[in-house]
Amino acid sequence: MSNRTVNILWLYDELLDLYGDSGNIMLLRRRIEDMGHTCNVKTVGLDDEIDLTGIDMVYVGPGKHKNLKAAAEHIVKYKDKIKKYIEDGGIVLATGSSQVLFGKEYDGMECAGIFDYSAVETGQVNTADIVAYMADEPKTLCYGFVNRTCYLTDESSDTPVFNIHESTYTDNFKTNTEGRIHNNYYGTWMLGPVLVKNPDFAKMMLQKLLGDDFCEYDDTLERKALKFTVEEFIEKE
Amino acid sequence: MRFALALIVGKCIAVLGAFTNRATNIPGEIALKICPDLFKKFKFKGKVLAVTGSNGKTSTSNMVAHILRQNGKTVAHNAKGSNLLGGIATTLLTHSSLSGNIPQDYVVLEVDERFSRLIFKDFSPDYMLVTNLFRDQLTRNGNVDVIIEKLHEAIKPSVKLILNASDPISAMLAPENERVYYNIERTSHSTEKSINITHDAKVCPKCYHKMNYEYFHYNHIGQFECSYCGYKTPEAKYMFTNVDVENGDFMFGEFKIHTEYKSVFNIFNIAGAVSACCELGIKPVDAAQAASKFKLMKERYDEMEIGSRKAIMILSKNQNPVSFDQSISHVLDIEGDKTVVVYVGNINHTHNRDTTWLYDISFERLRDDVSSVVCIGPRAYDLAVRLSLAGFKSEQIEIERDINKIKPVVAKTKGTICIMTELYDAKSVLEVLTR
Ligand SMILES: [Zn+2]
Repeated sequence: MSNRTVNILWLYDELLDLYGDSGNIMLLRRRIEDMGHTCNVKTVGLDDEIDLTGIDMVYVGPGKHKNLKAAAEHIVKYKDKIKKYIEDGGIVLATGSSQVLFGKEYDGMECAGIFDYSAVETGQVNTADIVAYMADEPKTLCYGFVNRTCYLTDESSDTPVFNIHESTYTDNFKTNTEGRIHNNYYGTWMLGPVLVKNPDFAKMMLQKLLGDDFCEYDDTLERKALKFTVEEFIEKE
Repeated sequence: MRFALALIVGKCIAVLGAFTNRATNIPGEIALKICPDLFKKFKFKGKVLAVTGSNGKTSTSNMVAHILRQNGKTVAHNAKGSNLLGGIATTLLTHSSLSGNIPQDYVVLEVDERFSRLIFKDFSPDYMLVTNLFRDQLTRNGNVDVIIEKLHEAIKPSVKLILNASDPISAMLAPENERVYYNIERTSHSTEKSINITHDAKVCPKCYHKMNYEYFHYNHIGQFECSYCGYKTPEAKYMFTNVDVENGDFMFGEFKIHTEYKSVFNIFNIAGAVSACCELGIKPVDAAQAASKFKLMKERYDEMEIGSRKAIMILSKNQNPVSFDQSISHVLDIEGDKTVVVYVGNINHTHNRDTTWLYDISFERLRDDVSSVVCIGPRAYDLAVRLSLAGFKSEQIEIERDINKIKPVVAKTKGTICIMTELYDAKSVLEVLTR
């Protein structure tokens, strides 16, 4: 095992800061450092350029309506760079409403245009608990909280991140799937510290991020927290 | 005559309620059912002040009422924090004559910021004091921008605003309205970086570029300036200076104010209350003197003995990180060994299992200061994970999901027991610990 430096780019950390997003970065940093590697987190705001050179992972979290519009106006200037990064297999985790930035349009603002969807703002707060299997992992249950006011014109992707368990079927997700995978891009409506709440999802991300430099770690506490949450939904069966 | 009927019925229920100690919003709710345009019919002899904001509105409005009364004024006021439609209706109808006249010199209404637009649909306050705006119960309320939209619907053009100059968010409310600002000078507790995770104005709320701060009082309350659009801390008409947080002493012009509740957060509440009273016509010297005699309601903070140990209950509101951050500051001020007890359940009202809000609370500040944290409730393990990510050692973290089994767990810990929890959860915790 070699000591590596992992470079994470946290897009709009201050602009898109709905709640709890720092949890994901906290967890990645903790795991990476515990494995003996170095974790650098660079941040980007409206006054900065997006430079993806040497970046191992891009993280972006949800934000308020007007803040998202400001982010859209900024990100569109880097659409070609972002497209190339994703097509080349760069890792992206986009949670909650930050997914709109990767579509064509959000509330009249042009976005990065990686995907064909546009986003529609309803102004209505919709919340849901989601218990779901990770895609391709039919035995791995995850939990996420959804709190959103906007929708994508094409919500149902062929390559979802999660297949929703019937205990939490909701009109929020008509196809009973959630999220979008494209190469190593992961977009999910689950918001806040999804990586903390879902140890298997975190492990998958870390394995992608570190490859051969990944080592096992103890995540018993996280697993217990998840178990007690999931049990409250599945117990009924 | 629906109005008279509504008043009579409401007053009767309120009288009965006073004996049975029922919730204070029921008389108003029933009166509103009988007479839906109840609020239109009241005639106020005196000025009406609304007090709203994310945090501190109950203490602040209680303090305003206290200062006015100390100065010989009569006041109609919803003292018990019943700040929704029903509670406001109860307050007004119990003070009203049967013809709808409210004779008090002043009406001081603590108003929930989310319900302000409904409460003030049919009548308007003359003044509105906004303490601050923060993220608070996002599941229920939506984000701060949603709250601002609701407040904008509530604030009619005639309302004079009394605003906190150190809060970049509430300071820009209803820009067309007449306004005065109050502010507190830099204190020994001010920091150059925000010590809290929750910070709702990292970017400028006007142009979304990075906001610069000369210093922070707490969270995003501080001296700010946006270098992109020029938005900066507005000039304050009412300035509070020479703040000695440790001793609870500060100056309002040439007048000294003293408080037993020694936190910058509380000093901001006093500053807001004193400024509002000055706007309402009380002399600064009299406002300052009366403010120094104010006693905070016991419900928010209480001390007791549990066995041979000292215990302190610090009200901390779920999904309200700033409230928890304040409680943490309080715990840090306590000397000696201490153990913090926190109950984390599902989201109030919606029962979602979300624990995202725990990541907006700066638990890191407690890490090197407390012997242990006892995590209780259905989401106890989520709190334990949060603490572990904050760098707490595993021997500092005790977990017991079942509140009925916490007594032996707490018995293992040492020092002052600091119960940092919602009011009703705190009562259950106390009940088990004192059983
Ligand atoms: Zn600006």
